[in-house]
Amino acid sequence: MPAVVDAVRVRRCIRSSNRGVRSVMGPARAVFVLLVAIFAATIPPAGASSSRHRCLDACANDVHACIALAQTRARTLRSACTGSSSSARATCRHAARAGLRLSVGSCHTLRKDCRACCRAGGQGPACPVGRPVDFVPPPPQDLGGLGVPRRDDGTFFVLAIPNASLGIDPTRRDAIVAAGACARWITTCVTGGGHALDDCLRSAPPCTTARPWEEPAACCAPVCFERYQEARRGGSEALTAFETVVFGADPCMPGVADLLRTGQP
Amino acid sequence: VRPLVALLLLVGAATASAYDSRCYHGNGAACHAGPDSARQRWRGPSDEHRQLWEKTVALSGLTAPPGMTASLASSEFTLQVFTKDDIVPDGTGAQVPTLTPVRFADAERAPSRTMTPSEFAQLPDFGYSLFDWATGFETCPLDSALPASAPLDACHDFSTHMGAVNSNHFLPQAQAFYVLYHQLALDRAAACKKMKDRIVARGGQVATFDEFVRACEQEAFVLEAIGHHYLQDAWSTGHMWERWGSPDLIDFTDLQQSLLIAMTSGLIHGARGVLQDVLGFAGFDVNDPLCAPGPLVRFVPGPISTPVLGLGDLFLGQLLNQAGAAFPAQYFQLFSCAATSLRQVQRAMGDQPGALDPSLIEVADPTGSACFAQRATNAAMVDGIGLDFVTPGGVPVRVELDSLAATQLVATASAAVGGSPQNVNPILQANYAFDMARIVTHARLRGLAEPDATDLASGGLGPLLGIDRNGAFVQQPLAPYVDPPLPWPDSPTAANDATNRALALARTFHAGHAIDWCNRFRDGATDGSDVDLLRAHVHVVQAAGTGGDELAAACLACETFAERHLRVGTDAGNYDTSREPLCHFLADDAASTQYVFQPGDPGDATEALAARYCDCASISTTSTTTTLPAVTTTTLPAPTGTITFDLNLPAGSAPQFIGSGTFVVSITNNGGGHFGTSASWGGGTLFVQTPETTCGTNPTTYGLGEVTGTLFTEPTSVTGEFLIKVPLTTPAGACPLDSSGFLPLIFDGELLTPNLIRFFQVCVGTPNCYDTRFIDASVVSVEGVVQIGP
Repeated sequence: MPAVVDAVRVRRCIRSSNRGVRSVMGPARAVFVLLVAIFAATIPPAGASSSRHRCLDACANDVHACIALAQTRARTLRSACTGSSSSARATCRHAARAGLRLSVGSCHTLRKDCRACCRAGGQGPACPVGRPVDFVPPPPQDLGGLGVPRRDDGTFFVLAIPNASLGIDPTRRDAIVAAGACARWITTCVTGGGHALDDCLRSAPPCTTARPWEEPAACCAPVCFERYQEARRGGSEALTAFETVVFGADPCMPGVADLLRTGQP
Repeated sequence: VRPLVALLLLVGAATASAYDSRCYHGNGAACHAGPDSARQRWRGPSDEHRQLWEKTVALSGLTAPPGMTASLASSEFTLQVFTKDDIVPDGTGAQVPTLTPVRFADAERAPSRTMTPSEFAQLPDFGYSLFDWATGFETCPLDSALPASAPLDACHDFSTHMGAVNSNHFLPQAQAFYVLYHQLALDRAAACKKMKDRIVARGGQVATFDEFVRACEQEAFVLEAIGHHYLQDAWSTGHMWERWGSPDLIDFTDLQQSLLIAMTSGLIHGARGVLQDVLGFAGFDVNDPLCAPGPLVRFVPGPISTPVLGLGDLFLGQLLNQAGAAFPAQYFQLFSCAATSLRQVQRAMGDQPGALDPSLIEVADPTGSACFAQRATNAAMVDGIGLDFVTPGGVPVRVELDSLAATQLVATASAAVGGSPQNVNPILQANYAFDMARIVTHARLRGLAEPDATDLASGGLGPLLGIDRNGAFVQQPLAPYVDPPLPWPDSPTAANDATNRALALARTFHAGHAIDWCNRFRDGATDGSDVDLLRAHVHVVQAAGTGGDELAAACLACETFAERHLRVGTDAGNYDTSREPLCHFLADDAASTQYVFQPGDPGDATEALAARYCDCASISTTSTTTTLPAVTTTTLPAPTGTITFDLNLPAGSAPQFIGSGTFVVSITNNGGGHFGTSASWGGGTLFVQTPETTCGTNPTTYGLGEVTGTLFTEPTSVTGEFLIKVPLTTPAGACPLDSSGFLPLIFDGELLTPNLIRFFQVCVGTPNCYDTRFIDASVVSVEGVVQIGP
């Protein structure tokens, strides 16, 4: 029986090994995992069945958490749809519903992947990367409220020299800003929330449109996590996978590649 | 390279200049960049690089030459250069006389340039190299990468051109530049030793030609001081990381790219230097890391060590305070490296330095990892990526540059330099924002995962706008504007315009390069290195009836070199072999160097014989304001002109300054600066540092001043009047007057005049004046009794 428990732990280990950004399993731990896996493969079928049960129970818990998180977020988004325009409110609610659908869809995918993982003995390419975590990022800094001086164009000083300056324009909205918002959500999830990068990538709110900079809150395109998970399953280190997916040659956020190439939204 | 002129006008001021460097006019006003800076002294409030050099000298145990009380590394020297009668624009609308040295046989003016080696520790913030200074900042060494010549002031302005290429002030390029200049210093020091060795080996007395040995050694210290700029920068936390870019402008692709990279580097470095005085930040205290100290501003001093607290530019006072008590590791390693480097130079001169300060050690190799492996920690880098300040209301604020804010960064350029927010290349802007988001995201995650690691400072930030970290641009030559390899002068080569640059350096430091010039001077030399040609030039000027400064310059050039080659006699078969000239002792081949002959008596001074040889015996080369007999006593109650004594001394005389009595200077503060003692300054006894009365090029301390007046505590401004009394007693071994007999009364390097506005330096901390402060004050009267006599 101990081997069965360890088999479950194997999957847990894979999913949760990336606390912070330390994504590469340590050598000792890898050896341990390998030994456990080998041992698990030699145990009687009855033990495997019990292990699968435990694994599936864990999957169910994760999926429930995933759905609960999606519903909570949808409620939060809906409650924020308080604009004076009825059409705006409708658009907002629509976005909330779309987000819920996407989130629930990803929860179903999680369940599917998780069950496949359990069938595979708790490891293998089918195993999902990351667990759903609830995290609400802090709001962006209110530079005006902080007393940061403004430039003539209304943006906030960062640097100024006699003939040039660098400022922050908090009102700016484009594909790159949306990518920045996605990256901020994930980064603060790790640095402020204390979650693993895998978990934060999985849990980032999904963008519901091809113009995420027009969406009411920070989001990450669903394809971002899909590519990230694929890279992780392929053995990529977590931080490298994250940066490649979001900031690599083929950015996952919609509109970014075009903006970088043309300078036009 | 795409057109860069307009681009460069925008670039770089945001890249801070490392520990602070300052240039002031005598009235306390800041210098204008370019030619104006080359004509002023580089010392005054906030001259951190100079202070670091002086502190290093004090700790390093360098010994003073015979007859001097201070090391040459801290002593003032004067270079007599020979120029044409040309003028150059200084960028302020004024025209200034050129300082570019020319063939000695073409001399039309002979300006003097007085400096100390310590001031050259600031050179890399004002100019590109020593040859650049030697030529008065009258060319733009970046021109080869520009489609059109840049204005001289803009070319030497950190906020326009120099900042664009200051990646060499950051590790690891700073190491390469230090190594270059330290090696030049060692090589020149070895040449000075050769000078002494040859004199002795050929039966001469070093003391007889002491001025040439000292000039050589001072030049070595000048080169060492330039190298120390980079060593000092390497020990500023704001520079302990690999910023992006190259010291060669040609490695950038266009204006906006260079601008954004420079500004971004400045942001991480710490923005105090550029924001503190910006109008929008009036009343703010921009205490911005990486330079501003704080709990997260730490660095790893070497390959196997743990992080320690550090600080950087504009915070030097905190490092020096109480001998580095708050930043012991940074203090210990910086000064151990710097002192070791200085001691190596003195040893290369053939002199054994004295005891090193017991708080330091000699490192095995000051060019190696012990002095250049330090890197800021990941946590410190994250701290640097942001903006910190305290509002006028006293509220500390940190503007986080997170992944979102990075994408909202917008660069603007003023229309005055051809830019506007609308014409910033939108593709570049987009790529910049995207790169910045990647950089800050990576930094934050690495800073969390391994806060004490140093991968971010070691190139881990990745490229910015396609420009790699500066470590990828350590190339040979290091930059197109670096000083040429020795010897100076050298045979023509194509590298770096080395011939012209080496020639300019050798002409400017001609006394120190006496061996080189002794080897060059020949009868009929085609390059004009011929004493007869110098005399012929005098005759031409005399025949033309030109007179004045041009004749004085021609005579001085002739006398200067004739003396080095002059044998007392009529010809090669009839001369005084007991009075061989300098070049007999120094030339590689004493038999083949040029000799000229002038009959004379055994008591005739060689200067006088040289003047006679040049037919210049009746020419006075110094202006006269007050002519005194050889022995005189005078009182100067509030004089109306520059206080100088210009003595027409009899040939061969060796008068001594035997001043006595008290020299009183009343000064009135102008409301700026600080004066007094406080705990933050380290406490100690207040005294006036080295009130210098100079004779020739060798400053001599004639007594420490006594300051009376109301002391107060920082930051209270000075409001009272102070008396500085300098007892003018001749110290043992005081230097004799120089050959010209020109004896200016100088207080701390400045000619004293009524209403002179300058910064008086006041020191705290005995015995070495570790902490210096300045007060901005005017001389309102000068009174004293001076006696001069043989």
